[in-house]
Amino acid sequence: MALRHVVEAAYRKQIEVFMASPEVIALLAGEVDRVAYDAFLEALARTHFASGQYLGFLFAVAPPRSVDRVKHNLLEELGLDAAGGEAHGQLLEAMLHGAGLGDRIPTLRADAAESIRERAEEPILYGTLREIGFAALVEISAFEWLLAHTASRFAAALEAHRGVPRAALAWFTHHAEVDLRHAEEAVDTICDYADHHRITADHAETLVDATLRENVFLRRYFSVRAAARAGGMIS
Amino acid sequence: MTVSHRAASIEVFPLELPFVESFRHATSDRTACDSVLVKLTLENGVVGWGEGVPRAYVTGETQASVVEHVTGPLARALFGRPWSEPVSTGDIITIGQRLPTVVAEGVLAANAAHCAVELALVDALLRSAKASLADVLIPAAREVHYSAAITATTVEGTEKVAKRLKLVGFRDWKVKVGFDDDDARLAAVRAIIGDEASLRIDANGAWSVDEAEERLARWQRFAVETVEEPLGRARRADLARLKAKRLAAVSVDESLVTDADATSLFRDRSCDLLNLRLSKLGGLASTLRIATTAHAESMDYQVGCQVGETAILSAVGRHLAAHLVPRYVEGSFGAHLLAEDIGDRPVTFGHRGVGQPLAGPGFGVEVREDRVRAYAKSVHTVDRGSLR
Repeated sequence: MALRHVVEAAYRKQIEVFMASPEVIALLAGEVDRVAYDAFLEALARTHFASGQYLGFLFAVAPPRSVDRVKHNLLEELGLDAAGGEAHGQLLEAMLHGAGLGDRIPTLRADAAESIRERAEEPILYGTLREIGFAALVEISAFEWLLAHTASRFAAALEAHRGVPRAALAWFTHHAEVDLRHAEEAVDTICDYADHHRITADHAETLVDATLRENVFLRRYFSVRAAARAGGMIS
Repeated sequence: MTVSHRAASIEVFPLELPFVESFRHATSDRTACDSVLVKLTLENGVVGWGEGVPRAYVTGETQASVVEHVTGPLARALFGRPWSEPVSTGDIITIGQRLPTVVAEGVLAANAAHCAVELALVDALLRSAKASLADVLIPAAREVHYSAAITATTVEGTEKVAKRLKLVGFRDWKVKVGFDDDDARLAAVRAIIGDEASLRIDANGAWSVDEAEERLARWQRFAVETVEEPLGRARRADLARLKAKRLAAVSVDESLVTDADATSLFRDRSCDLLNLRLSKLGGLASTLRIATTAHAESMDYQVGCQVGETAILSAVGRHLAAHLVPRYVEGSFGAHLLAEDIGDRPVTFGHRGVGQPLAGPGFGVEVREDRVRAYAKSVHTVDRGSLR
């Protein structure tokens, strides 16, 4: 199977499992309490406060055909793509302020930094940087896919059921608009990367399989337990 | 000068810590770690952590029996005397021997319970001495090479897992067998790992001796180096016959649980290799004793693991393997199998399945108690005063 199809099928499956999870269904339907909404908002910020740094890593290993795309994404993330651009980290902060969670920002930024420290500390499984870069690209691009396809629904739910002002939800709306394009381009970048770094289709498929063994969205946005439940590991 | 300490309290945590993906073999299908952790606090306030992995089909233990034995007879023995800081392997063996062997109906050996308490005590005593287990079990190797382990799943699933692990670069492989599609799965694995990689199989006692002979003869084409636990405890008497056929080296696992098992295996020389797993054997003391005898008897052994061990047993296994330099090593899967490990840093292997010897106080792992509590099904506390 062509790599593009492998990646897109894997992403579709991840999104399908995520959207069918009881956590997401309840959150979108307004069937959870304020604590659950706040936990979701915090998990989102914790996950994405470090996005600029992860994109910086992807920029470092990007293949020539995609390097401008990755650079653009990075600059956009940092709010440097156009005059008056806002860093996505600032949009996340605005979201937290809008939800009355502004006091949590230092802790959540520290959590994001800690997650990078933890990742850097993990023994490296693969023999070369090309596999590590590919795995990172597949995982990070998965979030672009998810947000491109679902961000507006989450924004609507947070506004309707948690009372977060629409203006404070610019991270979602902005993300959904720009990432629709990014999501499609992300798969182009993955294919370019495999081609440039001479990763065979079989090898690439194995790396995709290894990277997306569990539901990365449930794990990051909800909990380890939620991902384990979706994978049938616990009831 | 010998420094001694008294235990002040213990807390026992039976876990349900999910895996990332299930692990299946001939006698079990696991989706979560069910270890029992023991937190031991000495009177000086120093804390040590231990772990036992109950396996009903190995030692006859369950989480409930481990909790009962730890909070009952083992706790009484623990609180009943002072304990000296260990400075030698002999000291560790003495600690293990001074903890009682619990006898209970339906339990072959209460070894997981013994292991959990013994390790917690050794960890706490080493920390009191500001020493590492590496100061006692001095590493004889700079690297520990772990084996890849392939769960019993479909042929397609086996291929996927083998390809993933091949990317890691393992040199030693073990495949779970004992199923109808073994031929196809072994063919798939051998094709993926290549001719140079060593291949072991583990039947978890699934076969009769005739079945084992027939399969091993047929699988000569896969160059199976070792067959682990082909017959099971009930058919141990047939091991010598299988070994004599020389179809593959014969290893024992579930058939080596008690001291009496070890004695008879050394006496009869009915196997080629022993699988030494800390929890199954009751902890460091008994494992070290059997390894010492194996050296003296020129019998090969491996340091194995129970599926789903947390960072505690992974760390102790790492120390043990670096010290003993066994034929094969298994374990340190950490977050490659667990959805989240309970240590403050990963004790997993890296590329080529290699892990470095650990340093730092005790076992070299700082346990994150918040995670332990998050995955604990219950918490059982016993302090010295409550047992008076």
